[in-house]
Parts: sequence; structure tokens; C-alpha cells
Amino acid sequence: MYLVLSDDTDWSAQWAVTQLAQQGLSDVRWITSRMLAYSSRWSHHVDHERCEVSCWLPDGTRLHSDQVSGVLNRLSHAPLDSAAMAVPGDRDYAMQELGAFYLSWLHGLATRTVNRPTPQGLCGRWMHASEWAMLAHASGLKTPVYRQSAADSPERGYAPLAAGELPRRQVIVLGEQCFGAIAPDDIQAGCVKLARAAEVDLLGIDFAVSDDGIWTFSSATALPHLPDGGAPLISALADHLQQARLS
Amino acid sequence: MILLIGIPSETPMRMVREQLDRLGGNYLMFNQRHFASADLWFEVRDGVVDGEFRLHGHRYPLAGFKAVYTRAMDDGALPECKDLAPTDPQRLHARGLHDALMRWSEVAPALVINRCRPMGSNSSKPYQAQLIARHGFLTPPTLVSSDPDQVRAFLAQHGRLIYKSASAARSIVETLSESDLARLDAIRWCPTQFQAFVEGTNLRVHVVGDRVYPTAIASEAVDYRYAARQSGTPAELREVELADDLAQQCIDLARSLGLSFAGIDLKITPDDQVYCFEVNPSPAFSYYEANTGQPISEGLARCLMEADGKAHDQTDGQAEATRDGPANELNEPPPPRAGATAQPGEIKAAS
Repeated sequence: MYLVLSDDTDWSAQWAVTQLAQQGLSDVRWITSRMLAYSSRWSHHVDHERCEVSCWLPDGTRLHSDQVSGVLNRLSHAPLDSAAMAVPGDRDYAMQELGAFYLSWLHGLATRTVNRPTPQGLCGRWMHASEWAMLAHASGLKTPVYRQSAADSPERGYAPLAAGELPRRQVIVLGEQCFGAIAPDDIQAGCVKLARAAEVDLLGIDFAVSDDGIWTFSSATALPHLPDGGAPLISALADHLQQARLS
Repeated sequence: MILLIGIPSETPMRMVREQLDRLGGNYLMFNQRHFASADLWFEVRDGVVDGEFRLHGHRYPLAGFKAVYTRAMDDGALPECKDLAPTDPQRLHARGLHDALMRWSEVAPALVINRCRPMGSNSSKPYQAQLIARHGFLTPPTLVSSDPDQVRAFLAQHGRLIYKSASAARSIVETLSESDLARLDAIRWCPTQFQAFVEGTNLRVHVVGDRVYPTAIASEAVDYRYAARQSGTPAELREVELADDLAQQCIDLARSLGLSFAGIDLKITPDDQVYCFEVNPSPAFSYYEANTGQPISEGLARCLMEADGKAHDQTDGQAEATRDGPANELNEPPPPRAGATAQPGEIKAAS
């Protein structure tokens, strides 16, 4: 079984489910955060020899990690529906506990998970603009200056680095390959390096492209718009997910 | 220069500051409560981090800070902030300053004890256990469940269970009792962490760079931090030494998690197996130092000074606290060695 995990309104995920099935992947299931929120009888075992998880989905089927061959993980947040029902004094604690639980079981769910969860983001690290600026430069990409002062709102650190009206292009990296916008070879090489540095398999990288063809790094996301990668991306994703089963 | 961030009177911070004073460390203490007199900007330009910190009218180039020790508290909880509206200019300045300071410290080319990112592994204990297991430690059988039947089966399998928070939220470790079983249905709303109880001796190993400070804890309590409450008798802490390979395993574990300073919770079973429960990325080491005299704050100060390039300026001739044991300045006999390599868990009390 292959899982596509995502938030409820992630149409990229829904598209990927359909396309992966057409690629011949058997039993691809779309599991949304709402389905997870209303799943019951969770059981997550961890010790030095094993890590497994099981639950009963709302439709009455049992999901067990042993059945899962690969995962496309686009779950941005742990669903906190049940924590929201806690009494006010317990609510924050319950939310922390649910977050901790999701991070752990997602991490141990399958050998091949695109992308693996991290403490800074369930579908890969959410990074601050200053971190992206460092990593993008180290990856050989032209990167704008990032500047922050005490007078700035903290939200500023999550805005695109490249301001202005220049056209935007998104390159999608999966493993060692690039999809989406057709970028020069050196930009593609930098994108692959950047994804590796960010420790994600799948990364959407936005560029501002000038009239004279200069590509400047703007932002990156672990939740790229998958249809932009088209059939080549889906084909590569299908191969990627199946590698774990073959190895 | 070394930058200290936090509240100067907070015990761990005070102890590190005193050691820096004693050893001649060059540091700047940023008392968070003085945020109104502070300002900061930084930039990342072509991979180079630059900027300036201003405090009480003085200017400090950020590039001059080669080491940072932070025990910053939530700025929203500072006495000067907590009663202010979220849109109050003073509150906004505190937030903007602390965010900029934290963001700078995440990318600064300096030793930062510790950066936020590596501290994240402790936000989920079962997640961290999966990372710990890669380093050859045993980790206790753990079940996080919302299914009372699964918990009862797990209890039947292991005989005795404890429960505690799965997240970084502080909780008191308790044994799962008959009265707890009677209210087990409550876990249906939130998966809860249960663990097989592991018999043995608690061991807290503070790792500072490549120095280790192992402390054995004797207590009848399930959670020795609350020993007086749980068992009526305070825990007894004593300095011990570790076998070289176990010491190295602890150093490697902290390093792999990106932590220059860590408090590793181990348990040594009667048959000398080593279980690792948790790696604390911001350990309040003062409790252990106060009870054993282990020079943990000195180790931290030295680590910071080494990064600042001034470690040996004023300390030549003094014994250093290393993983081989504490400083032996008073001509006391060194603590006995731990067991042989073949028995990595063996520990002995220092006399």
C-alpha cells in the first residue's frame, strides 16, 4: 500500500493519488488530516528493535505500518481536533502531546517517506528566510541579501527573499532530478544541492527570473504544486516510492 | 567574546558566569529584562552573517561573538512584558528583538549552546528514541496509544509500566497503578505514552563538547526529580566514571543530535545493559553540580572560552575537567574507573 498524507484541501495530493494509480502503483490511498483526526485506537510501538503504528480509520479499515510500502507526506500540521476539545487547562498540553505523537509515528511509518517529518515541520523543515539564504548561497544559487532587525515583525522571515515584479518560476526537485520550470543546468545543479542541504527529497524552489535570464533564489517549500511537475514528476515519484520495496 | 543570553540570577546561568569570571572569560551578559535598552540587526549577504548588537548604549559587532550560551526564557513571560497588550510597542520590540537574536544565533558562525534546531528532537520523546537507537543504546519498550485494550496488553506483557509526557512538556513520571487503570478510557482523546519499567540505576550524563560528567542517582522513586514526594526520601547523587566506550557513545550521541551540551538520561540494569531514555538539550545541570561538586559549569565555561579562543590564557597549569574525570586540584584521589570495556554499563561511586 502507498499512502499520500495531506491536509484536507491539498489538491496537489489528490492529483498525485490519481496520477500515481495511473502509473501502476497498487493501492494508493489518500489519507487526509481529517481522517487521521477521527481515526481511533492508535497504537505506536517504539523500542530499539522496532517502530510500528496502527490505527482504525473512520471508514472502519485498519491501517498498519507493516502494510505501507511508501509514503508521500504532505501533512503540514498534526490535526489537533481532539485537543481542541480539551478543557482550557489541558489544551496546550494535549496539543503538544499530539504534535509529539505525530512526529514520532510519521518518522517510523515507512522506510521510503517523501518527505520525512522533522521537529520543525511534519513534511520537512520549515526554514526561516535567513537559513534559506545561507543554504541557497552555499548551493551556488544567486541569493538576495536577507536583513532583519528588532523593528521587523517575525513574520518577515517567512516572506520570499526576492521582492519585485519579476516573473516567478518554480523548480521542483525530487531526489537528484528537477521538474517544473526549465532551468539552466547550473541552476538545476544548485537546486539539487539545496534540497540535499535542506534534507528533503521533494522541494519546490521559487526563483525570480530577470529579462536577461538571471535566476535569483526567492523561497522554497516542501509543499510544491505537484501538477507543475506533470507526468515526468509523477513517473519519478512512482519510481522513488517503489525503490524501498525493491531494496 | 562570549554572549550570554538569559536571566543572570537563574542558577545555571549564574554558575556559568561565575566560572567565566574565575577563568577570565571575556563575555557580555544580555539580561533579557533589559530588552528596552537593547537593539539588534543582522544580515546574510553572500553566505556571510554580519550585524550589530546594541546594549546600554554600547555597540557590539555580531561577528565578534564567537560563542553563545543561551537560556532565554519566553520573552512574553518577562515581568516587563507579560501584562502588556500584544500590540504594545514595548511588547513588539521585545518580540522583534528576541526573534532577531534567535534567528541570528541559528546561522551565526559561532559555537551556540544550543541552537534551536537540534534542540527540536526533544520535542517528541518517542521520535528522539528512534534517533537514539541508531547509536547502539537500548531504548525501553514504549507504547503511545489511545486504545485502553492495547495498554492493558502491554502491561500484561511487561508487568510494570510507567507513563509520562511524549512531548517536551514537563511531567512527573508515575507508575501505572490500579487507580490509573480505572480511568484509562481518558486516553481515547489523546494518545498517551507508556513505557516498560526498567530496573536499574539512573545515570545522568552531562556532555559538554567532548567532556562527560556522569552522575549516578540512588532513589526508590520512579521519578528521582520528585523523590521526596514520591518515596519520602530525597535522591542521593554521586559522581561516577564511565567506561571509555560508554563515554564515547554519549559524546557521539550528543554530537549526532547537533548538541554541544546535553543531559543524557541512562539506566544501567543489574545485568549491565545500558538503556537511554532521553537526551535533554537544555539541562538544568545545577542540581547535579550542587549535589556532587562535578565541575559542569566550569566545563561549559571552558567550552565557550575555547570557542572564543581564550581557553588557556589564564588557566595554564590548572587541571582540566575532561571525560576522564573532574579536576584534581585538591590532590584528592581520582574517582575509581568504571568497568572494563566488556562491561560498559558498570559504574562505581567516587569515594
